[in-house]
Amino acid sequence: MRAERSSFFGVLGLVGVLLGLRVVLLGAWWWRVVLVVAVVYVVAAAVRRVRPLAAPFAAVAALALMVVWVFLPTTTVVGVPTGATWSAVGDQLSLAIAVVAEEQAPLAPPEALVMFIALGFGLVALVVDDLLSRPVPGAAVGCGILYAGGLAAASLIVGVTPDPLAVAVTAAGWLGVIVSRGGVPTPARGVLAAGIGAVAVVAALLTPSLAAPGLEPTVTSWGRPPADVFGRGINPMLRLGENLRRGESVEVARSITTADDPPYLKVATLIDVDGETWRQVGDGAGLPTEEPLGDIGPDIPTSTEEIRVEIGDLDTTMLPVPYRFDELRGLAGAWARHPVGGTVRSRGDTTRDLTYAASYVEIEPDAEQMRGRSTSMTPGVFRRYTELPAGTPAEIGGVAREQTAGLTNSYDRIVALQDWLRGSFSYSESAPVAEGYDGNGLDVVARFLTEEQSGYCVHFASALAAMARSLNIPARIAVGYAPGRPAGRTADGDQVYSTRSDMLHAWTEVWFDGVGWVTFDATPGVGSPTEFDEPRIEPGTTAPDVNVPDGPTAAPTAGPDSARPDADQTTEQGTGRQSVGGLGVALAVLLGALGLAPALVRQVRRLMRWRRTRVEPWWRELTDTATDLGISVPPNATARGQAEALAPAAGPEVREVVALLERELYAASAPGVDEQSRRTARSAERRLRASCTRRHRLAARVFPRSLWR
Amino acid sequence: MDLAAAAMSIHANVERVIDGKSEAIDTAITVLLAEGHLLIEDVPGVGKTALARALARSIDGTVHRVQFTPDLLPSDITGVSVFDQARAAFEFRPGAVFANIVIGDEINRASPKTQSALLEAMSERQVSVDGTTYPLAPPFMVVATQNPVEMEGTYALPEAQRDRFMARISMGYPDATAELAMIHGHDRVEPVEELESVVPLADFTAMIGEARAVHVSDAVGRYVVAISTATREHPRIYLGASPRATLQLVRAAKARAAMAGREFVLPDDIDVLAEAVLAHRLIVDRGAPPAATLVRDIVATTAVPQGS
Repeated sequence: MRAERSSFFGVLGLVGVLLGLRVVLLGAWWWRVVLVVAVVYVVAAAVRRVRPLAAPFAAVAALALMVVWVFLPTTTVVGVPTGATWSAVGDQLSLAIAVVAEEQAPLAPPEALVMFIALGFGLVALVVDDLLSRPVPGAAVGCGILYAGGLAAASLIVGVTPDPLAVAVTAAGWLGVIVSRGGVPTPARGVLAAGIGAVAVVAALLTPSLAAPGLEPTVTSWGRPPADVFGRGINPMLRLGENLRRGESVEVARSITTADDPPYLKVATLIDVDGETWRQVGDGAGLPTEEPLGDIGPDIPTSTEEIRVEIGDLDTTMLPVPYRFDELRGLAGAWARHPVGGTVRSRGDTTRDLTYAASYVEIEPDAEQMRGRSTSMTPGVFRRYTELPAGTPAEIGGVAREQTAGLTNSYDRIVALQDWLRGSFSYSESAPVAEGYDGNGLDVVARFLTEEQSGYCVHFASALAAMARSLNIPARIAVGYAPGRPAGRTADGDQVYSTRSDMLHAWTEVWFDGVGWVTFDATPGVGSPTEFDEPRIEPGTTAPDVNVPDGPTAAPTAGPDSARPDADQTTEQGTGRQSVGGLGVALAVLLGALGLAPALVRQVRRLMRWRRTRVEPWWRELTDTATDLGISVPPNATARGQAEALAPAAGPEVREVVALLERELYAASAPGVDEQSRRTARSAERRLRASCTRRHRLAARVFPRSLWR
Repeated sequence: MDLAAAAMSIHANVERVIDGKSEAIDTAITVLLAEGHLLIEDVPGVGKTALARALARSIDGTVHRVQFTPDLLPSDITGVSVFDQARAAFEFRPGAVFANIVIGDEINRASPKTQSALLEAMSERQVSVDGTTYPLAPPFMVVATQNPVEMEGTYALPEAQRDRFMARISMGYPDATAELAMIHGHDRVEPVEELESVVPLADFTAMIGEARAVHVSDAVGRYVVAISTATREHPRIYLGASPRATLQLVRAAKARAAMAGREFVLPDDIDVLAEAVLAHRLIVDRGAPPAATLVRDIVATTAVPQGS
């Protein structure tokens, strides 16, 4: 019965790990795997009652049949696998291998991959079930390692917080294993049940909240843009949300760059805002033409990077380009730089299968330089970039002032707003639609800022831009693609980055005099926030390109030629470290919660035993303590025999305790215990501990071996 | 004098004669106190007879020694009725069995009929001759010896008969020091003759009653049964322990507990006695380890009951 329970919990823990995989593999694939695992377990458990030896074989058969029935039903004849089933398995295997080799996580797993995941988990479930149904020493520990490893691996692949539900289920499963195998005395069960609940809940709650500051969920699916994603003159903002919510994604571009991190690729600039939406400007539009590098002051360090971009499955007249590029080489067709915003468009050609190379400039000022910059512009232009229509909700300005209270310069204010949005808001593509506040109008922004605090890039970019303008800081919105992700291969030693249709993105650009337009990305989990390094030399000194402390790139406005994807270097300095730290915290909490569980169980057991008024539980506690400390206690010996093994460490008190124990267990009538005898027993316990080194005592607390006896 | 002290003084007394055989002496006293019989399987000349005599002297009991030979008759053991012409009546002449301790040397040399006469007396604790029953005065213990080496022309004890002995011990050779001491001691005078009684016979009889009253808890009972069951289920044991063996193990354990001054039996008592009480009753498969080894294994692997 105990074995039955312990293998149930073992399989439950495995289901927790499976749920943890949902951060890597998106979609509703998992319930079929859970179904397969559940059937395998039930069959194994049922057969074990009748014929224990046959259980693993029955489970293997059940696993094979379930996989075939669930994933390859069409290859069977009335449920019976045929030759076609076998060859289908082969096909699926090669497909699954291809997916694993080529796709990047997170992804929505194709059928073939789900099938092999089901097969894999089924096999592991079978082994776990079999091991836990027999008194294999160390099986519970093995499970713990398996669980922690599984959860950690899933989170590490995509660098996100483990799913709290998965952590809770896994923790509950593992604690169940420990408790059901440990044979905890009955009165302790209630306390233990509470303990299990507490640990599971604490693990589930603590993990995400501790991890949140540094760990933005990067699992995002931006959806596939239709061929005319940015339309011709159509407002891209309106299409963006729709596109983000589409299912699949395709690769729209590949790039190789000399920069440490790939740039944002920009396609459009939105400047004018009315109550409904943000708009691109028409060709002239009364704004000065931006020169690519024209706005960068001589004291601002820069670095020049090379990029080569191959456009794939993307049909649009707007070419994704890095900000602040100087010229595009090798581009076929009639393309022209937009005078404002540094973007490129054609009058008829589309981007499909185009290739170009470009050099672009990244600015690398330090924070002190940024703080010293004003945001002044030519008055007419300044008005365009700071204008908010009449009827703009007052909350936007209110929130902005609230969040920047006490800050004295524009740069610090923008950084504060950006970090607030990234840190306190959550990313959701569906919430705005479900709650009816989709769009980028200012009413929506107000509601997003004050109530919902959940949305996708459009909301974050609009909110930051609107708040900046409310503080009289010139700001606009850029639309394009978030920085590419490593494609897993290199070309001529340079990393190849892949940009997919679901990485469609919107961010904010803010004007600083003598620096130009600087990118700020307020969307949690996408790209990286801009935060320039504090000066290492004297403020204001122009550092040479090479050694410049990294700063995110900011792009000055003006020339059509500026190119500047932000975030490159920031990633390493800021977010990178932050995420690693956050991930570390999350893993530490997870492992800590799992790792401390045995200590908790052991401690509860210990306290329960000392509360009893019989010698026998005391004696068990003494022998368990000795076992924890690494003193070997002969398991089948009589109490007297065990006492002789303990006496060298625990002193003569153990013999007294054994005398009491013997009387209690074997005499016709026992006198009962008094405080004196409890003191004797506890002093034996103290002596046992004192006889060991500090290291042994610590090991005994953290990893009590007696639980696995 | 309480039981534990008496047992200790008997032990000390016997040890004056037999050096370095503390365990064998303990087992012998235990069996005497538990009203059992002792089988000593050993080569000649290691002190089997001396042990029995020393025991008898220590409790002020009578001792008879019978050398079993093929021509020994049952009546030599039990006794005969002789016609007394003066009184014109049959008069009973008690045989060798009428003593507190009867030493049967090389019991396997006697004919089965003679053997069974002794064995009947052992279990019934009385002798019937010509329709009259003569009870044997307690304490009554038969110490039979078997010579395991020279087996030609012997009638080995059948397993059923061996079952009647509570315990089997073997003395083994003394170590060099003990043997040297023997040389000097035996040079002058037979030491057994020097021994004096340390416990009056009547007291010892009362001690037997006390030992019977020792408490055997449920847990210990289950432990004994578990061990017996294990001998029956052991793959290499052809014949396991009988229920009589189980009972005798418990009785011996009670005596041992009493000797230790306890009024209840511990699993430890069982552990210590299991080999002596069980091993000689088991028949092991050909090629299997000796029964004693198997019993030790079984005891070592049977879980000791803790808790109720």
